[in-house]
Amino acid sequence: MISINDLHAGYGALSVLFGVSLHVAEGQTLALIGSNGAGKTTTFSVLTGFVKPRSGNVTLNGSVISGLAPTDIVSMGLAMVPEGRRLFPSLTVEENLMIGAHCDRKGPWDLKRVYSVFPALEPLRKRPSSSLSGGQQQLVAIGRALMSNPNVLLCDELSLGLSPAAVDIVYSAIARLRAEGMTLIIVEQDISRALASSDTFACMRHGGIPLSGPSAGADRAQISSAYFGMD
Amino acid sequence: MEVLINGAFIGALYGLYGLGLALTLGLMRQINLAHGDFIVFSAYLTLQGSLLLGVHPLMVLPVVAVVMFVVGFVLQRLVIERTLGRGEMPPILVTFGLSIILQNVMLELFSADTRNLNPGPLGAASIEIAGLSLGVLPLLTLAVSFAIFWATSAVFGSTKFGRAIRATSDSDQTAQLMGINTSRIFAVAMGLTLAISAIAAGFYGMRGNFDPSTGPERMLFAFEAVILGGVGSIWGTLAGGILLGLSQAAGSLINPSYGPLVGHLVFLVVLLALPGGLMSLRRRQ
Amino acid sequence: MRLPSINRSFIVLAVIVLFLILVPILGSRSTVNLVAEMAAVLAIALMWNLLAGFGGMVFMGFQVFVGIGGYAVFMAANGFQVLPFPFILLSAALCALTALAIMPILSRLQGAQFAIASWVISEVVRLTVFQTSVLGGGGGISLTAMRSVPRELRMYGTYGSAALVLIVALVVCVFLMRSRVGLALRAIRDNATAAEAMGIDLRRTQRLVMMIAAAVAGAGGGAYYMLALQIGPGTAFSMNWMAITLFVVILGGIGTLEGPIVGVVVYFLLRETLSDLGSVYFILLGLMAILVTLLFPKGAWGGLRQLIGQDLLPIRRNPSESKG
Ligand SMILES: Nc1ncnc2c1ncn2[C@@H]1O[C@H](COP(=O)(O)OP(=O)(O)OP(=O)(O)O)[C@@H](O)[C@H]1O
Ligand SMILES: [Mg+2]
Repeated sequence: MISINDLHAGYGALSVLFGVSLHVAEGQTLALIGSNGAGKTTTFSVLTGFVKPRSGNVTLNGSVISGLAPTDIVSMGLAMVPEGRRLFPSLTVEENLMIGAHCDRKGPWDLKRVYSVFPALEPLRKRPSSSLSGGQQQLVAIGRALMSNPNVLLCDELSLGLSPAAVDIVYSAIARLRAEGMTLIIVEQDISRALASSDTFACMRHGGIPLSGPSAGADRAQISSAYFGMD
Repeated sequence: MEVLINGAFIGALYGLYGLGLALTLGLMRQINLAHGDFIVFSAYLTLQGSLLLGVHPLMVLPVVAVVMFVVGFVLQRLVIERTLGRGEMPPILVTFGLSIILQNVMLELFSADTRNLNPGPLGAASIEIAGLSLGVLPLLTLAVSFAIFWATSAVFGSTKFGRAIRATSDSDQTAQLMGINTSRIFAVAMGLTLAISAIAAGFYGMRGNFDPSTGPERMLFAFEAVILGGVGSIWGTLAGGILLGLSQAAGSLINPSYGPLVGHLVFLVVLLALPGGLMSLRRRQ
Repeated sequence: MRLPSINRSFIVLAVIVLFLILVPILGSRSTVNLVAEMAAVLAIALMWNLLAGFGGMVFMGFQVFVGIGGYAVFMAANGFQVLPFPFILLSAALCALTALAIMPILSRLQGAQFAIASWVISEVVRLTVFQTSVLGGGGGISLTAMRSVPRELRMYGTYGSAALVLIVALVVCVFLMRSRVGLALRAIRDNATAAEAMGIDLRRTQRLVMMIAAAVAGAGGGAYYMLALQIGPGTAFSMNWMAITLFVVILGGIGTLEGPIVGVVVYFLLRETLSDLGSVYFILLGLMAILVTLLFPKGAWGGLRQLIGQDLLPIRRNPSESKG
């Protein structure tokens, strides 16, 4: 479904990614783990079109999307739940969701479906999004991304700044999306949770991928040494 | 009394000048220092059009508004867009350069003579309401201002385009992540800014004079209306404009040439005492 | 050869001072007057560059200091009927006080709002002067104190004042930018929040730089109008001052010290050759300002610097020096 091939990228004089290659098959979930500054968000920024790759490419359903404008990438079926949620504070909950559908991609997701999957949001629909709790905001951010009917959904640090109970709610929503066959890439600091909510994992370090494999039965010692670079 | 009512009418026009400016300030966090020169330019276009066709200025005003929309759209795409994302200085420098160019182009084309638009019989017509004799032109001006403000706020509040604009003002990056083409939004906004200001310029031209050098003053008034009302509030801009118009009228009651000075002083005092503008008063309650 | 950067600055400053000394000795009358005018304009532009280019404060009403500086010299010299030259100190003091007075309004604002509010302040002063008959009202005043001054003294006195203001402006820029204040300014411009978190007092730094810039620009305005012998609210508080300043700074290269020096030379060359074109000349200036901002944001000095390979008035220490 989505392939990242030998990606090199950075900001100005700073190089961040040095040959990242990943592949996610349809209906699968990839967990991208790695310490702070490893380049996870930068990888997402290349996928969404905000950072242009220096070499390498990204294909979605066989067509190259790297180098396209962010708007075009959304309409080709890639959506992201950004780090820190980034809801629009001057829009209501429902307006935030509707903004997600701005590019009018056809598909199963509409307001009704989002409310049925996240029933907690329906009573809040007229509220300003800034008045919600962190967990509720995260659900809105996920719903907003789903409204564009993506083929692939990227989630950056869903649990950041949330209470443990809220994290559970958010990840049960992710489990539900997986059960429905959505293709996902999730970035998560909590390694156990990341492995439990994914089919495959990739561990990122200094802009490369020293270790990857199936999440079930992954060797935690091996992951730790790849994560902290104790090789 | 009549002077104050007049001040309120003029103030409604300042509000319209400010409305467009507020739109671009909210969206791009920058302003067009040539805003006032575009206002004066559209007044000249209206004048030339009505002279050429021999019709009332109000007849050519819609055409001028459309022309100015295109000018704004193209200007944003060709020039201003290139200054965005490079800090706050480039937009200021480029639009100031534009202001100098426009003033001198108008000087070349239309000479330095003071001009105005001839309202014809509309200028003198008046009706009696509650013992007050009110001019038809000021009333029409006020009605048009309110209509534009109402339409803008309706578009903002409940259309897809309005939603996209508000989202883009909140965060241009996140808006792009939603598939919103923010460059197009910016260009349409700049077009609307100049179109709305062109309509205001037409009405203003039937009541006051203009010459190629009056642009910067108009821009300051527009900006003052926005800040007085409170950045980000549509109706606040109208309130700010009317407050500015009233202040100027009150000033000119003391001494006919004190108008703009008192307006500026009121602006500075409000800026010092109430940085959030008039609308922050309402929010506090 | 790479000299330690401070020595390089001293050499370049010495060359400029030498040039300023040689002009009245070797130059014709009109050259002396032209260089005096250039010196005053350059001092003003350097100060605006200090505020906007280094401090991130885009002060669009900078003419307010030029005007106040000019009026201060005229009023004081005419009042006492004495030589006007020392009164540029009064101009400086008055402008520093003005800066102090308006800071409470401006310090909360940023970007476009700062720019416009400063412009409005300048308008308030212009309109007030216009209405004040003691200051000559709309018609302005002449420097009557200069009438009894002999021609030679008038010329050299004015030239000396302008040259002195320029030297002060240059020295202030070099030393301020190399000092802790300069470091703080750059930190604030790059990231105000982070700078504050590091313990830099944002308001105090900005106020200090604003007062210095206002004082020197005011003295520059005083010197300029001694040359003009006539001052009025329409010209002294005119946006034209802003246009000239911006042009000099942008064309030369904003945010560098060498930029305005190059810019002032280019500006006067253009003015002396093209100003007969009238409004077409201004259209050309505006076009150039836009093109340079969009295409060559580093200005003429940016290009020259590549040829020379080093700063002439460095504001950063060489990496090797800062280690010591
Ligand atoms: N917009 C940017 N401009 C310049 N450098 C950046 C930018 N964003 C990130 N970086 C740098 O790129 C490197 C990788 O950052 P990135 O945000 O991709 O890491 P991450 O793996 O997402 O880390 P975290 O777990 O902290 O979110 C870091 O060194 C960071 O400082
Ligand atoms: Mg990250």
